[in-house]
Amino acid sequence: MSFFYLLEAFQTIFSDLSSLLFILMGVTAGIMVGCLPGLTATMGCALLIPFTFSLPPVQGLLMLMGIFTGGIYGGSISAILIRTPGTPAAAATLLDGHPLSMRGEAGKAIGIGTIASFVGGTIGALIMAFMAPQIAKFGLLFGPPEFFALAIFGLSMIISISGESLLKGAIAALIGLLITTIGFDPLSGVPRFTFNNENLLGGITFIPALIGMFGFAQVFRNIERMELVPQVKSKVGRLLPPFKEVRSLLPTMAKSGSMGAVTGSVPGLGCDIAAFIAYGEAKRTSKTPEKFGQGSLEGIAAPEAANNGATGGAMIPMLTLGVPGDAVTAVLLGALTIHGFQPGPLLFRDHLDVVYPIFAGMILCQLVLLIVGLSGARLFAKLINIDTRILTPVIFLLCIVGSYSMRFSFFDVGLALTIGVIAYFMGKAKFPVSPVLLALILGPMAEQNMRRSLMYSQDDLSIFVTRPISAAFLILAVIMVYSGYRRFKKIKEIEARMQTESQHQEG
Amino acid sequence: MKSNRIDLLTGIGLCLISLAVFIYAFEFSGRGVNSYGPNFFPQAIACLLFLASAGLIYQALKGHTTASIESINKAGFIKASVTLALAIIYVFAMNFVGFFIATIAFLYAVMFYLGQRKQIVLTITALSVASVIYGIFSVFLKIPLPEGIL
Amino acid sequence: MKKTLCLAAAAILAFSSSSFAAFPEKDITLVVPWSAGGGTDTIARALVKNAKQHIGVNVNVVNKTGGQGIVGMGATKMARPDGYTVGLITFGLSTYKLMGLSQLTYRDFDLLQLLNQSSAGLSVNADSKWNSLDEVMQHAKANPRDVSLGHTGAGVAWHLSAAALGVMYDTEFNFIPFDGGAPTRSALLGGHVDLAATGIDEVKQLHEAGEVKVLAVNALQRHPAFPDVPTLAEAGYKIDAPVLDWRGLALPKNVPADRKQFLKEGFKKMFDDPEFRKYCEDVGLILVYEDSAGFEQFLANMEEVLTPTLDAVGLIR
Repeated sequence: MSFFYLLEAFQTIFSDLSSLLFILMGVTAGIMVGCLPGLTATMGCALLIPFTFSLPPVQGLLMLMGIFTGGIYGGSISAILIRTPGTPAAAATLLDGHPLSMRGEAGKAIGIGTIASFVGGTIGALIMAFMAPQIAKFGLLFGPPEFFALAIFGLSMIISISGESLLKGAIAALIGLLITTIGFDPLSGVPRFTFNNENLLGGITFIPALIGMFGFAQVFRNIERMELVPQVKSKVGRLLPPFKEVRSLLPTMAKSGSMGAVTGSVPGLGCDIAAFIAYGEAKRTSKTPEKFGQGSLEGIAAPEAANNGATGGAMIPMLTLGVPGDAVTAVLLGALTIHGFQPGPLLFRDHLDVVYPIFAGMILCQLVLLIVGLSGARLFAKLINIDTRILTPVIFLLCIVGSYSMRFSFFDVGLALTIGVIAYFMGKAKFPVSPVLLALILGPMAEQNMRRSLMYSQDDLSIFVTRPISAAFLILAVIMVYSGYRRFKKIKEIEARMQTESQHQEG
Repeated sequence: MKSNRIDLLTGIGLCLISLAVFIYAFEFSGRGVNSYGPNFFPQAIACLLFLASAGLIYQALKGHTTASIESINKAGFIKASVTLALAIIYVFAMNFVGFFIATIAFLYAVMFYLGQRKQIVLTITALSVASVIYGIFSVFLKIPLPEGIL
Repeated sequence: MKKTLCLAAAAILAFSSSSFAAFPEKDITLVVPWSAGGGTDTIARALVKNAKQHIGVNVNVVNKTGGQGIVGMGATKMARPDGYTVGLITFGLSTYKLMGLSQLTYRDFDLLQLLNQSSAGLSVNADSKWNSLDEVMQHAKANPRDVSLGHTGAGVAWHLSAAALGVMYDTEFNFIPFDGGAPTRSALLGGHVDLAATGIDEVKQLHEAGEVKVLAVNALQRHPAFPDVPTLAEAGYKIDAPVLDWRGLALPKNVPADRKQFLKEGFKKMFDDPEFRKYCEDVGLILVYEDSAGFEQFLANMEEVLTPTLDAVGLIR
């Protein structure tokens, strides 16, 4: 039944080639917006809504979905090349993407990222097209205790991204959690740690923090390094990894893509959390976990497949229930209403002529993404060979403008610069910054839902273990930490053995 | 040896911060909320942070290096600081001379300072990058950039 | 190089100082204190969609978010009073000072006009055992704090609206605050709260689809899009002055009178645009126009209504 509708929708789209053109424009614009730090997919969509006013509704939507898809993908390009995620969803990609590009394999990293995005995105789109109502019901099972348990599970990924010292990773995450308590507390209406500064009432905004931690800190490091090593022209390397490698990554991509789609479909989670969860899971089940963080291909494939899979997932609750899955879909929901369609259960009854083109469009977006991505990747990858004395100032500028443009606020620029300086020193003292980021994403979710649950249960703590989904995620979190710890020990042992062996050889 | 000292100092600093947070958070207990009020989460995290930093201090005292610490290159550090200072000046100047002019000047200055001396490269890059960013942000996306008080 | 810079600066100076031309000679900015894509933002964008037809220039929506709207409204207050910056102001402005979040009140602005008033709707899941407000209230009265009531955040209009009901009829709800309308709705749909207080327009679709039952609307009249939903009074729980959510337009103080007059008329024209009206009808938003004086009167009343309610839920500081 739905298959038939889908075919018909493809026919409608293909009958008017301008639709394809709008998808192409959307994806390309999305990639551009996404790879600029500070311009997120959310902003791209919001800012381009007025452009779609003059278009027929379906074409306008196709363009916006193109921006969504392209934006989430585009963020990974800057994450790989300059260690600055263009969008929060790409923050997990840089862990392995950047080391790979430092080794002169930027082309390969982007190539894998593109293929993974395509695979994950397509899985997400298919799940959306065929299972939307069922998945939407699943998302509704999540109440406050479940969200809390999920946040804890998400935080247990810290063990996978802590780098050399688990203790320092934990400290970084705790600092991140403390930072999230700054600002107005929506549960009690009390301002916290704002020191009567109205700019802090909204808390430390996420985008400036992201740009500071990664963008500015990296710029400072680059400038410092300029003094030490003259620029070496690195090879872009071959773009398409050998087919055998891609094939061996396919299971990871497929698994991460479907995980991403399901994660994205739970209202309030979104692409960034999906990427981290997939990264942690890929590392846990990998045969070569010691390569993670050093430029593992799996470490790129997993988060990229997951965050693009989550785009399809996030559309599900928005379309079926009128409840947006994340910030971008909230904007898309607004766009749909402006065009005269109220997303929600009635959309599926009354407007199948809109729903199925959306599904078909989402699948087409992935195809266009693959083509645009692979043809543009070489060009992008060449960017890192620009003279650093030119490239670094330009990146610096982009970061300043990016942190300004989120809210048109100089306070945010100052904040991002300050965080950048702190992150620079943290890097020197080997405190990993990724746990801070993860804590910033998950902190409010953990805190608010914990307190919300306890309000619901009237201070009865057992609510977290008596509800099955909540209990399951808490157990998963424990398993994650335990196996992560054992793996960590093992890697340390291997490293120590290798060190002594190499010393023996030298001696 | 030096890395231990840094770990020790950060540990002590973080201990103090967590104590300060814990005490300051007592101010948040508002009326009309249940026993897990707005102060609960910050205080719980502060406790954990205190324990973790105590662990860091302990490790540092026992001489276990948690991780190798990167040394800071002095000349490079100064260079980065000067660039940062230029950025701060740039942000303030933007309010007076507007985004476009300030950006050209900033790019020109930083590139020059970092060692790019070819006038033609400097001028072309500064002008084109500023125009492209101005174009994308101001014209295409309609994000208002500071116009300055001129 | 320096010479060119000076020349460029001089040229720009010459351009901008020739500002004796008719107002407006460039696009106008509308500052929206909430994020892009949200309810308030969408309304703002729909309002200014046809601006060019009505006032000859475009109106660009700029989202300055953060601090529960204080950052954006503060930016409007501090903007250059040349008429090129108009601000959208929302319900929060009535509560900031009372809640001790900021000194900002409506008195800091030159009010242009009121745009809309929304009333709270109390809804239950379609599977709920309750079918009327009276049944819920009876149960809540007999079992204090047993009925969990989800709302969109402490101090938001819907929270206060429901709290006023509880205070007036001596009923204790177990208030569960969520962060905005969307999570509140999904909690209601998922059965995680018994009762939800949201803007009534936010549940229009779900109500029509039969996914939720809207028990009552906290307003003096029924909502045109919900002809079958009784008001609180009709449901047997009369409240004299219901807490209403509102949105309006304002200017920074000291905008020249002629420009203010122009904007007043211009925005009224956009407000009356049939396309905007149609949009608001579709999403179930009730447009209410009040001019500057009427708007001011409305806001003064609102503060009086809110003070005891905020006090009752412990948010007065």
